[in-house]
Amino acid sequence: MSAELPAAGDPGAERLADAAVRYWNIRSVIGGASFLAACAGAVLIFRAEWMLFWGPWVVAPVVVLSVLLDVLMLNRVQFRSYSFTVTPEFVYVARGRLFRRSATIPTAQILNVETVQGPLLASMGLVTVRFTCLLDVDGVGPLTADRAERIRRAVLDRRADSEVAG
Amino acid sequence: MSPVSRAGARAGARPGARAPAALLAAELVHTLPSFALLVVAVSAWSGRGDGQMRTAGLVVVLVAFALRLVGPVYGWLSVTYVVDDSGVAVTSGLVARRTRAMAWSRVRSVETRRPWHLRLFRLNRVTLIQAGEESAQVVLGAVPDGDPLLSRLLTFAGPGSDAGVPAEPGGPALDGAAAEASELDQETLIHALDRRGLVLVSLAHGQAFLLAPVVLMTAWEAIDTLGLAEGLNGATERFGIVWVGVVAALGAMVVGVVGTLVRFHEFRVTVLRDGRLAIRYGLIEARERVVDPGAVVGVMVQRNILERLMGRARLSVVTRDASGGLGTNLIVPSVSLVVVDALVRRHLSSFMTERTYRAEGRGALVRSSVSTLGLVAVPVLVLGLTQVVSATPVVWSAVAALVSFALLRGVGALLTAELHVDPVADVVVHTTLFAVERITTVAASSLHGVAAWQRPGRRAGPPMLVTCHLYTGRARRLAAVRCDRQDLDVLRAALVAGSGDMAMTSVARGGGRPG
Repeated sequence: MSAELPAAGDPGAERLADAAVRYWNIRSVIGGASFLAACAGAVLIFRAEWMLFWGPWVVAPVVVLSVLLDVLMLNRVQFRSYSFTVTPEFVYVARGRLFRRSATIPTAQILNVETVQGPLLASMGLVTVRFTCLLDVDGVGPLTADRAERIRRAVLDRRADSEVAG
Repeated sequence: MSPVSRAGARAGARPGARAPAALLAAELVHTLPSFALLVVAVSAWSGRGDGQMRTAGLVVVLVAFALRLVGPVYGWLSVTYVVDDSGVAVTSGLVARRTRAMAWSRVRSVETRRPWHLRLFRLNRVTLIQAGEESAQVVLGAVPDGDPLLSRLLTFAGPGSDAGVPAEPGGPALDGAAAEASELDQETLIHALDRRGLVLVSLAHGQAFLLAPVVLMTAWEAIDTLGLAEGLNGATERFGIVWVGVVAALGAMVVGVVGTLVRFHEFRVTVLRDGRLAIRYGLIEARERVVDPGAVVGVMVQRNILERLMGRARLSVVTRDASGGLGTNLIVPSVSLVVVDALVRRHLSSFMTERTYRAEGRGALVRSSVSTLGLVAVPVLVLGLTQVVSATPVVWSAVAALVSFALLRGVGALLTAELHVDPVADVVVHTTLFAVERITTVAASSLHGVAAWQRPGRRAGPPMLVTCHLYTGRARRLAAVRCDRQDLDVLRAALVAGSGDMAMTSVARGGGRPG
């Protein structure tokens, strides 16, 4: 899993699991539906006149449109622009199409590696990897469980080696 | 031997002992002035009313007294210390016990504070600091003057200090430590400030203007509480608001100067025999901070428009443990650039680059002047507009002015920020010039990560924003909108090539031992 440090902003060596787009799409739909359900509940409870206008004619169309935008375009764009490289020396993550953000973290500065798998991720056989460190990198994923384990091992083995050497 | 020392002597045999009972007395004395003010205020208030008002006032005073009594007693009863050869452990809480332990090898600096109430009883508050979270410091609330434990705590700070630790805990260990501590007396003076220097510092640094509003507002609150505001209004009518304003401004300046003289009284920076820096100052509250050179990760040079015109600057060291602005410890409050240059070259040479001081130039002076004017004018404008255009309450106008000041300062500092890398010295230089010029030079090896935002393309363009992340008591970042692509690549490569690990304190619940 060793590789050269990519130039800042360049794509990393690896990409997310193919099922990542499907996972994000389902998450977007569930998020939108939950928000609409909460709004509908509020309308039913309070029955305010302004709610009866703003709810169905403004809030609901905006939510539906944003979910459609996510599903049809943004999630695919995010998938295509998201890449990473993990070696025993560093973790590099690059993402974003309009504004490209790249983060470089030496593995020596990563305190812990956490794998996260909620019910939806589990149903699709996917895992998200999170790095505990100072830099605000919201993890890498979704990935397949095998690749997540390889990443976790690469980072933690390096830490163990440096601690023994230290 | 104090109870704390006895705790250390018997550390292996039983849980720690409490701080000296004098701490209880000191804490009670500390509450007396504010309690007296409360009694006067309640008396003045209840004196205007009937019998029921007086009874209510008495109840308020009694409840306040009881509450102020409970706090120190609870603190004294619930906190115990253990000091032994492996480190220091402080246990707190009566119901839920919490033990915080720090090994000697983890201690990176020691801070000794003597507020006025502790000085009365010849006590010191000692804080052991390491390269970890601010909340993971170990504080010994009261160590008596002359107690061997005090010398021992100072001696143990720093790497390699374990060498002098005797194998057996107890009396001989403390005697050995005391002998070692006597070597601390052999120290070299780096910088000291006399009264004249402090007055200059107060005026150049703006201490006079920063401290004065706080003191004046407190005084106004006291005047209002005591019912003396009417007399002041009478003075305004008699002498005119301009003269009252002039007197108030002069008073504010005097208060600021006096505040600086009291706060930085006998400011001295010395280098101890083992290379550690010792910073001491304070009249009412004496402070002493001993910093391990290994904890220093950079230096910061700052100067405002007045300091720029006078050829002066402030020098601070950036350390892994400090809680000040960007984790800094002030080395010199405001001295000539020649002195700053000499100090950096002689004692902090690893952070000396050609960019450590910005080149003098008319452009920099103009930018500094315009941004300073803007920083003053915009909040004043906001205050004036909210008062004249709409009938906004004064408090909300003041809040709006403060918010505009903070926003302008933050955005201005970010938009003027630059980041440069010196691959030879292996340091990163971060500069901002918005009202105050601030140049921070930190070791590349102290950074924990780098993030960059760029324009998209087949090959990503030059960075629009770069953030470097470092740890100085808590997670902080240096952000810059100007950074060469080449500098960014060099920095990332240096970061991956060599990076230090972060040390942590062991925090155990339900009891624990240092280790």
